[in-house]
This record gives sequence, C-alpha cells and structure tokens, in this order.
Amino acid sequence: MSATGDLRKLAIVPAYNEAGMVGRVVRELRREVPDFDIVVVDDGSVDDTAAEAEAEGAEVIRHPFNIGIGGAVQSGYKYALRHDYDIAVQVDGDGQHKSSYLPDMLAALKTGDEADMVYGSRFRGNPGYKVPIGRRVGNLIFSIVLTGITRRRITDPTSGFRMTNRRGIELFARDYPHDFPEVEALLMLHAHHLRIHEVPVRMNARGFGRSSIDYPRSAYYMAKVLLALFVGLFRRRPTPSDAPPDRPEGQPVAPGAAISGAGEPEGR
Amino acid sequence: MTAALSWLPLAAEPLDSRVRIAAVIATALMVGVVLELVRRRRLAERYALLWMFVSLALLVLAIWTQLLNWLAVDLLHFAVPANFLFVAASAVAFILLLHFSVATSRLAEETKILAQEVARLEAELRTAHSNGGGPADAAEQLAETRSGARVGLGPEEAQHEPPVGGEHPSQ
Repeated sequence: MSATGDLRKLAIVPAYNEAGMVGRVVRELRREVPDFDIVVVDDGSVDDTAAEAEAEGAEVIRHPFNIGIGGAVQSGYKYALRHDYDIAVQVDGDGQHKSSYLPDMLAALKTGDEADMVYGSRFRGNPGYKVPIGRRVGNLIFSIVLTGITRRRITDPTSGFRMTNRRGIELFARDYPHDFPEVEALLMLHAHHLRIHEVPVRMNARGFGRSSIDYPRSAYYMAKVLLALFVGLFRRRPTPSDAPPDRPEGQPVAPGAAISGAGEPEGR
Repeated sequence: MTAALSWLPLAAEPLDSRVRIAAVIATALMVGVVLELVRRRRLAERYALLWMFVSLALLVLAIWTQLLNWLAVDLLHFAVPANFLFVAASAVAFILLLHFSVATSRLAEETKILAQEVARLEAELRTAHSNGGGPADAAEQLAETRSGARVGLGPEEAQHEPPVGGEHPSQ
C-alpha cells in the first residue's frame, strides 16, 4: 500500500438536489479515505446541496442548470484531468455507495490483474439491500449483452460506483454518455482496450427510498441503452493515447474545471 | 378479424401491394439514416428512438392492412383508409414540431444563462486583475465574489430551476 501514498486521488460526487444527504457522504469520505480529495458536482440543484457540500470541506463544481448525470460525472472527470489526478472514483451523492469500500477498490486497481477500471458490483454476493425486481431484470439483460461483447464477467453494469486510473480519466474527460451513462461507459472502456475488473460490494438503498427511475422511464432506459450499445459497436474508437477526439468540437480542457479550479494555484 | 372485415364497406379497399413495398423501403431507409446519424454522433439516442418509433408505426400500418382498415374504417369511420394515414401523419408531424419548439425554447433559455454566467465570471476576473493582484490573488478574490454572490443571489436563483416546464428532459 505504500506505493499508493504518492498518487493523487479524487472522489467525484455527482449530486442533484441531495441536501440532507450530500453532507453525510462528504463527511464519510473524509473519515474513511482522508487521502482522497473530494469534488462535489452540483448539477443545478435548487436546494442547499452546494452549500452543504462546501460546509463539509469539499470542492464544489456548480452547474448553472441541470444537465443530467452523464454531464455531471464528466465534469468531475474533466476536473480530475485538469488537476492531474492519477485516480478518480465516482461516489453517488445520494448515499448509496459506501466509502468504506474505497481501499478495497484501490487495492484491486493497483494489483487486481492489471485493471484500468474497478467497479463495485452488488451481484457478487449480498447486495446489502433489496434490489427491486425490475432493476434486477434490466441489469441481467445488460449484463448478458455486455458479458457477450467484452468476454468478461460483468454482473452489475448499472453500478455507478467506479474507480479508474489516468487512462480512464482521460477517456471520460473527453467523451462520456449523456443520460443513463453507466452501461455505455463500460462498452467505451472495452472498445478503448481499458480493462475492467469488478469487486463485490454492498450498497445502501437510495437515500430517501425514491428511485429516480419509474416505469415509462425504465422502458426508455432499456431502449436507449440497447440502441447505444448496438450503435456503439460500429463506432471507430481511437485509444486514449493516440487521440484525435471523436468529435471535432470535443475540447480537451474542461470549462467547468477552469471555473471551479480558479481557487487553486496552477501547479498544484 | 376476418369476420369483422366481411362487412366492410366496398370503399375500404386495402392498400395496393406496391404502396406497401414503397412503405417498407421508406422505413428501412429512414431507420438506416437515423442509425448512421447516431453512429456519427450527429443525433442523440432519445431523438433516434423517437424517429425509429414513428417509422416503425408507419411500417406496421403499411404491412398489417387489417389493422389499418380496422382503425380507419371501423373505429373512426374514414371513407378511405389512406385518408387516415394522411391525418395521422400530419398529427404526428404536428406533435413533433411542438416538441421541438419546446426543446428549442429550453435550449435558448440555457444558452442565455450560460452567456450571463460567462460574462459575470469574466467581469469578476477582470476586476480582480485590475485590483493589482497576481493570478493566485485574483483567483482568491474570484472565489470570494462567487461565494458572496451565491448568498445574495435572490432573483437569479430562480434561473437554476428548469426554465421551461417542470419535466427535466436531460435526466
């Protein structure tokens, strides 16, 4: 573990109207993994999310309006790239992900058969809470499709509890799916020859017991992700190192990072 | 279904098979173009699904003639099934146009907010520079003004709410 001491590590906490919860998430992160810096991406919340996160000592990136989970997470990765982090981990602002697993994930990222991205799977053992049947079925379908494509066992493709190294940070800072991004992001990693590894975790039921996904929305979820996976198979994918951006308008430097990083000296 | 069809009025002739072939070709083309646009990232998946759904509906009605006849003649008393197709097509086009107007309005609102935010940040940065501080000093001042502005942001705060309608399309 001594080798991990000099790595710069960042926890990205996307949060949309999570006042009352995001403060606890930040506090837990600081207690469990004091060597991680924390950036909370407030995705246009109308409550006290940003103030609460700031009060607990997190850096806050504040979107002027809601742009969706994909954009929020990508803002975090752009921040990580801009500030030269070696490791970044996504931890949901709703308290679903337990910070106590971060050391496990970090160890797997360092040693576990040369992984570029390690994510926490609920379905390698006890999930820790009762996962609704609809989510299980959806998860199973994505799991079968992705396992077929990647030839690796992927049991929980919708998990947003993910830790990645510099290569993953560079990839996601440049390109990240817009809505329901988790499954598609796995395909991107695979297409760019980044290696995926999963570790068993338990999660908490979502903060206030509300799921952000209801029935018409989950139909759209399934259709959108399956379409994205199908089309994604036919995209040309430059690897992160020899990268002309996929999109001509894709920018390497994050405007969000430039704004929120203003409080810090350049060479940090 | 055939029992229901036996007492159809004579005017309700099923669509010509050539029309059906044309519809199949048109649908296939449309789906192909949509998929290619998504692959090139010129079209977001949400709109791709919308267009694919529309073309699928067209295909079903073109191939499954009994369904078209039942809908058009039995249910809605159109004299000619093709008329129903025209009416339905213009209704769908109308709804899509309305939807895009809503989306455009939201985009315009969001662009306005972005322009205002950038202008405000730029002004604050310029003020900080002209007050003589180095880059670090300026940055510190910017951070101060930001947190200060955040507290007293009364009317502007409303801009953080979804600008058009309550439903949030981006998530």
